[in-house]
Amino acid sequence: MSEEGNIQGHEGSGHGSRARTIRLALMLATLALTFFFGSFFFLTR
Amino acid sequence: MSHAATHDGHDDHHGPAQLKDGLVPWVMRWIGTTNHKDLGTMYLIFAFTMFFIGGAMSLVIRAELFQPGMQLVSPEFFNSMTTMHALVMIFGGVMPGFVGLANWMVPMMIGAGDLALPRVNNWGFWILPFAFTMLLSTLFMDGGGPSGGWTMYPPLVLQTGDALPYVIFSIHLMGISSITGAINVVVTILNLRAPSMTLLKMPLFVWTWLITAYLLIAVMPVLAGAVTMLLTDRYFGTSFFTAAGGGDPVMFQHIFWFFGHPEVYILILPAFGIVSTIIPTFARKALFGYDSMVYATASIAFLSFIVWAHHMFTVGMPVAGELFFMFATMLIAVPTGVKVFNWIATMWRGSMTFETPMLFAVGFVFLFSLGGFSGLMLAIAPADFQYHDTYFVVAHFHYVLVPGAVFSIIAGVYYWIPKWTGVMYSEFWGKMHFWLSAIFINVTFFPQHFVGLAGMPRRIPDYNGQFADFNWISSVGAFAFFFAQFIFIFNMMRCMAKKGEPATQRVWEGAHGLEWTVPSPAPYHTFEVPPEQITIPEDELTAVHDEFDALDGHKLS
Repeated sequence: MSEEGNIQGHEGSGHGSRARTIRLALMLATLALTFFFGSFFFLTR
Repeated sequence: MSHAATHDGHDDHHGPAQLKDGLVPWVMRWIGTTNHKDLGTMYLIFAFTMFFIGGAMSLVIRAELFQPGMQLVSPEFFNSMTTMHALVMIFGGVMPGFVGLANWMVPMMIGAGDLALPRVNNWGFWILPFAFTMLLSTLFMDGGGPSGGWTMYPPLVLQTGDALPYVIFSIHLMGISSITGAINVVVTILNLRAPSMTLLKMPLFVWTWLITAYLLIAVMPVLAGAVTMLLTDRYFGTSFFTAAGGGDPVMFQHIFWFFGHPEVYILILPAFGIVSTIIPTFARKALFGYDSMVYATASIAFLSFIVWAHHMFTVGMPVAGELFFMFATMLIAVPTGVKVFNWIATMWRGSMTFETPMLFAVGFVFLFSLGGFSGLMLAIAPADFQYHDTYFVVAHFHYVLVPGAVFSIIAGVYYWIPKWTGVMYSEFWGKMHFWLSAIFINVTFFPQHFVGLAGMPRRIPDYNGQFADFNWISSVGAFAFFFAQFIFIFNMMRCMAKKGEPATQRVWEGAHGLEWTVPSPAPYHTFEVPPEQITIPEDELTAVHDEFDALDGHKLS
């Protein structure tokens, strides 16, 4: 895929879009952090 | 495909450094690699190293239990062995084993050039050797290694010597590795599939790994939170779990098992994916009930979050709580039953052959189901008051983990290693490996049901003389099983040394999927351009099928 295609993503499939990749990874990392801190709140509610 | 995101530029011209190119470039290649195949190989080598270390610990346990009385090790060291055996096998063996298979196969199965975050992948792997060196080093510290069991219940675990902070930090590291790996798998599957591969066209192994990865992201941080609270209770004056300061030790058990129960599905869902890949290949039929397999996997994952307290029926819960967790646990048998039914229905009237991967897969279905049945017995809350903390529990979870998770990893390696190395393993030694493993795993663990029902407690180095016979049988089985695994190592090293019959591209005539459309051995870079077609066309399969009666197995295609 070309550099431009890489940034835009493969139309219709999202294949290879770097922005989408990073956005999704950050969302999942946030989810993990939520569960980490959530375990403390569960205990000290 | 992103240039930077898939590989280093210099690899385009002359491939990865080999040993003949010099020791330093070769070492640097393996340290710095971002290639999913390299990292998959390293994960698998790491996992099998840990299997042997954890296996050696189990032999210490079984040697001590060979006869009643104290023979070989101190009670403290015995307890360290049971604790470390579990931590090493779960976090060092089974989980990295599945991650290794995911690294190798998920990108190839979905037509991606690599995982979405290759440098994170490298980081995730290289955390592990450090984490486990630290964990194993605790055996040499003042006060010995951790010995309160892998569940680390306070207040007992707070009596651990110098080892405690090292154990906790190593668990944090393993958690980081698992979470980064899981994020990578989710992002890859959701974002890098071949354009025509919709979610419900993905191979089952990819599906099960997608769901497993979500489980990992949800529960590994909870384990990290629990052990962090242990750390602050011990060193920073908090009282999360210390009754004297107003804390609640039982709350640790709830938090731990909120992690721990989904964890056991993390250890088995990818196994379901592997078996769902192998059985259709050797039955030469499409998987029966593909959609129901996906929904069953998702249902099991959901239910795994609401059953945790079945590990603590004897702790003293309200009856309504015991009933809820009992019935919720039993509900898991429904989607699991759907899966077992589908595997059997796939085999029903198939053109079956029994090459080594299929033997391990069929062994999985049969023996995992036995472990499932004893799990149903344990789910019955009133009965669990008898079974709790006995060898019956040990027998149950070893049936689901060894002929379950471990057999599936072995099956997956036999199935895919011709694709990885370009040569076939020895079928004779593969079959020998299977039969010795299948026989001795039962010799090891089946008698433990009997001693458990008769009341022999787990995690105890000595026992009443009435249990002696079943225990020596179990010990003999454990040693034989352990040494049988050297056949596997020999067989795999033979492939890695390229000794053996060359493998064809398809390898198995009934195999579907994108990984069989690339040459054997798979080139260092595959699917740099997403493939248009996502399975081998049916007419090609039919043509191969017609030749089947005359020829056998992998020699076709």
